[in-house]
Amino acid sequence: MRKLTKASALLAGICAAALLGGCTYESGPKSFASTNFGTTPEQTTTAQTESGADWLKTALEKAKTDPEAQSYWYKGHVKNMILSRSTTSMFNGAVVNGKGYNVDARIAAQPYQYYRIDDKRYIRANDYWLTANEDPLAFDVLAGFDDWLPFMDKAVQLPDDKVYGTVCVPFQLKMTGADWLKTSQSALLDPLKQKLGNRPDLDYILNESTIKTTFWIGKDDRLIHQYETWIILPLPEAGTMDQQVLFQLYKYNDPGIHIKDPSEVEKYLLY
Amino acid sequence: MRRNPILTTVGWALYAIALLLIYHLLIKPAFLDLTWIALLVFLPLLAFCYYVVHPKERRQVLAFTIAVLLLDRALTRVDVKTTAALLIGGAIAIIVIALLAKWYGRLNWKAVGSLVIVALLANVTFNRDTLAALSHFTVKYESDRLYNGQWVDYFPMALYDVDHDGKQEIITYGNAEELPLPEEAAKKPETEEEKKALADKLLHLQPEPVSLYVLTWRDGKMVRMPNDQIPAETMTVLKQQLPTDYPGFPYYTMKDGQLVPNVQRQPYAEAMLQVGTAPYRAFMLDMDNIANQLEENDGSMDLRRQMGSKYKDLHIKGGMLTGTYDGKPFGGTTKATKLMTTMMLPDGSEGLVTMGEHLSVLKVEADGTLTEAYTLTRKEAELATGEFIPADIDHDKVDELLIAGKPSYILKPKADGTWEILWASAENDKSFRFSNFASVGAGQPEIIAKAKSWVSTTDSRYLSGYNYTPDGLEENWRIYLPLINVQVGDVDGDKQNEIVATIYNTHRVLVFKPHNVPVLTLTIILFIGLLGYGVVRRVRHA
Repeated sequence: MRKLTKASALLAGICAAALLGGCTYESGPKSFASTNFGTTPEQTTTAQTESGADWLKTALEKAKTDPEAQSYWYKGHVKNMILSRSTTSMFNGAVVNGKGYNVDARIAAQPYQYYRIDDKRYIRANDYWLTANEDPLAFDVLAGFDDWLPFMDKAVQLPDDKVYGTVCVPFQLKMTGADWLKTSQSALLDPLKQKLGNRPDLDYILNESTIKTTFWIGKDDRLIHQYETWIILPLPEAGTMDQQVLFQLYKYNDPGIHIKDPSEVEKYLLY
Repeated sequence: MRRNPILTTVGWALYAIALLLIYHLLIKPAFLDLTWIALLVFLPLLAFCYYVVHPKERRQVLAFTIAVLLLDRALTRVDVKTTAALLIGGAIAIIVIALLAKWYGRLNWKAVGSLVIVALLANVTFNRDTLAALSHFTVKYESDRLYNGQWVDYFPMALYDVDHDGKQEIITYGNAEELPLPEEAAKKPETEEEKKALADKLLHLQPEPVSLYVLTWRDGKMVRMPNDQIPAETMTVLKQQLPTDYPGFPYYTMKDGQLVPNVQRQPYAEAMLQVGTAPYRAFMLDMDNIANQLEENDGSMDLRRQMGSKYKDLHIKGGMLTGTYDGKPFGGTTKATKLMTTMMLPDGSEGLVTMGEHLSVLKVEADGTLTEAYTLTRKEAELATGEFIPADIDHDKVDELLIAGKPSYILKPKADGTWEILWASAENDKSFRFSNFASVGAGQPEIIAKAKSWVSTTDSRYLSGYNYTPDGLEENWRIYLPLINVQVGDVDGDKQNEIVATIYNTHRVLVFKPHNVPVLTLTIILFIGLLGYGVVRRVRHA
């Protein structure tokens, strides 16, 4: 009995010490935990015979023609990191080519849904369905991928990687914003090209920027499964802005994909 | 023997107060900090408490204890949207819990009355956030919500003596006065016009008003200093005091007192669903914003009138950094975009900390050129999202650099141009983050950081004060609230520093005032006393 009392007194003592004693946060390892900055990606040992450009061309071709690649889920985000703040826009949903898509979206913490089927387009915001009334952009999920083709010969093949269980061959490109602008034929970059010339401040930003794009192309199905671009720009008064643009296309031809009938939305339409 | 009824009531009330103190100051922090270890400690203690009460009284004490804690919690959690709902909700909670305690615990009305009154007083007489800080602080002031908009999670905050009266004003952004909260039950649109009007409003992201809020302590109250009473020149200085921040970038831009959206729902969703073009569009949106900003600033990357004790008129433009050091002009090339702070170096000079892709500590040479005395690369630490605080933590007149990141470091500049790591956060600790180096109250400067619980794997962070010792960071105090935007300064003019902070996404400013009452020790004594009283009572009964 006495032993028991002693033991419990000891236990109580330890507990009290744990509760009352000031805690000291001891140092972790006193060396810099190296980040992945500037590391050259590990090149794969099983290099493909075809070039990155060929892989991307095949993927785009197959995405257009393969009947099993005409519907898929997607998940995407654009994440901006500036100092301790990050701001994200997100886009999730499913696509049925030639028919329509739905988007669970979020811009700067404000959620909404966008629903597009045939020539009907609706937005859901604050629990109301509304008719989207602006002229639509083309329904072309693959638009813009071929703008990378001029760069793809320099793409580095990385070790195989899985995206949602699918083994993919990743290809990576790295360049400055200035190089991107110089070589790219994309009309989207034209307004910026026109601004340059008398804007040395923008030239400086572009020269000091980093653009890193990676494609994950399915080893067997040869379809695009993941697409990521890192954009690192010097930002006034803020060091740099690190931005990740990531899209995943997955479960191609999933029988669960079903874009609801417009009548299901129209009965709740506010206007 | 018939007991004095007043004494009985007072006895129950005192027990209720003791319970609340013990719960909020000992048990809750123990669980927040120690999780399962706290459970190991308190389970036997709970069993002991159960058996120490005489079986005859056990039911009463148990019902009373649970009822007090439950009612206290229920009243705290009552929905606060409207006063009527608050009153009704509170009344229901009180009636239900009081009747349950009365019926199940077979308590007399005196006991039930005391429990209701104590729980009620604990919810209406002081700011509840005080309970999370009471071991060392009380909440001196909590503002109303300063921002009524839809999406900004927090704005930057700074302290600055705007009217040169020796105390500091709190500076932040808000729009509570400019933008009333949407009415609770907005009228449902009925006519075609009303529907169209609402649809037009909802289809688009709307601009929101936003303006500088300067809060000042006047006659025992915190009030907003009207912006039209602040001279334009002071306004410019105030904006410079605020830490650089880009809320909503690149989707919103702050201009002319508004947060203006740069994208709209339908076109942006359609644009991003042309997936191949997504990075092109994101890049163009960024560059558009940056181009406008540079145009407004005439191409300047950063401009500071004064930094530290010796640097003045600092300017980064076109890859050149110019300014004066100790009155003498200097200049040199730089890739930095941000002038961060200054720090005292081992050779007695003041270094200028700048950031571009890497962090540099620059030194002005006698001939007016710049040399890079110390560098911290992105390879060594995550700089993009880091924060950097100079602090002489070992009192040798040379500043160390506190780096808030994953992991966090304390770096000491050595005479040979390298850094010595004095301390680093644990490898698996993703949440530790330095926030300040300042004296709270009238004490010595201490390290203030956000740290997670000692055991738990959740990432909730609590504000803590530390002293540096060669063995590690010794904890001085902790506030069990996830505070951000932490600033330290004298805002009430009593020459002692308060902690000013906010909680993520609440837009309320909290001012914590340190006190010298050994609250924790007193509560422990109270707890032990209560247990002792229980034992004595039990022995006597036996």
